[in-house]
Amino acid sequence: MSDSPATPPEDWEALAAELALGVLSGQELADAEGLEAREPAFRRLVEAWRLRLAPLALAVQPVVPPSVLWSLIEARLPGGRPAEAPGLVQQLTHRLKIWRMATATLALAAVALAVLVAMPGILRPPAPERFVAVLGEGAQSPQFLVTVDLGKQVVSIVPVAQIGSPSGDFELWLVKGEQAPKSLGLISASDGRKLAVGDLAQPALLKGGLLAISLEPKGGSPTGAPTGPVIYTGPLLPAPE
Amino acid sequence: MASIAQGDRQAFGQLYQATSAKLYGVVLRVLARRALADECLQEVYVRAWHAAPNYAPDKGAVMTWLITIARNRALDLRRRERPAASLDDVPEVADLRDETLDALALTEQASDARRLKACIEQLDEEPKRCVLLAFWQGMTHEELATRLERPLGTIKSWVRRSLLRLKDCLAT
Repeated sequence: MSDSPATPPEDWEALAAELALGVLSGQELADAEGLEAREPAFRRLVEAWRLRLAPLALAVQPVVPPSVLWSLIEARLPGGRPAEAPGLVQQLTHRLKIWRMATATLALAAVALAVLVAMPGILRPPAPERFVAVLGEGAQSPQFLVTVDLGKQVVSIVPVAQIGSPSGDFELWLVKGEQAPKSLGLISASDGRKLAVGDLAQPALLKGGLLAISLEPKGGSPTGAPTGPVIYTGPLLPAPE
Repeated sequence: MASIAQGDRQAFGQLYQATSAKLYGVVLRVLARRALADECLQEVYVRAWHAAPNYAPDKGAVMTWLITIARNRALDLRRRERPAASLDDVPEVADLRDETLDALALTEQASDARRLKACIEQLDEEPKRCVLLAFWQGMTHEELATRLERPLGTIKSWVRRSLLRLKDCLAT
């Protein structure tokens, strides 16, 4: 109702309270806001109610805003510096300092470690993080160098000799004792490749294991076990750091 | 505040550090959406920067003054942006602990807050709940009627009477 009757001044107090609390909506809200814009006396009542109720907000649980907001606010102030300005730069400088301190600490730690390593018997050998295997047709003719890096969770395969393009796909397997061979994935005969370690990432599983490469149909073994001829093999050895 | 009014950004940064978490909690409660609350908080502080020369201690403590700016802006945005959304639909905010009046007793502005708390506690249970839901979550008469499953007219008279009782109580 655009022709709603004006609120009589004796009702201003209650209307101001309702507006300040925020319960009004629709036409009632529009009318009250109109009155607030027009009538300084009503505006003062609303302002007094806002201040009167404001302490209630102190009961609200604080929530830390996203840190980027301050930079955005600064950028919106007059003559605003770009958002990348001081806040962010200070943060980065601070982080850099932390990194420098960390690096210095690491350098000290490295020296200490070197001393310890130089005194055999003090340190137990840690669980090996890396294993290597040289795969070939016997020890005389290496074809692939395979590194299993448990820290990086990656298996790297590097061909070390030229071989002709196979008629199918090479598939890499881990063979351990009597367990069924586990596939690590397909590899390329000519290019290096990295595969995910996946669920093989256990030193106990790798230690004493054997890697094997079989020739499989395009797309790999259809059964989950080697189906084609095993062409190259090599034992997995813990790698020195 | 005086140095902020003269354009001291460092002082303004300190004010932000000291007050932003409380204000963000307030606007997040009312708006119930992070993206809206982020926008709202920026507008609040930009407004505060421009309004700083008009700030006078008789407008209450700085925190109180900032709360009025924040709540006004949040209510405006709420009315415009989410006419029908419910706070319960927004897990990130629904997870927030419910406010209780007890928290008021622990605040720094203890005298104002304690008096307000004492006066609100004298209200009847359901009208009190209306006032608190309206303040903390920005609910309108209609939303309160839906939430409390009461007729709109009942809600309106509860709220009006409660507010006038509050004023009398605070004046004594």
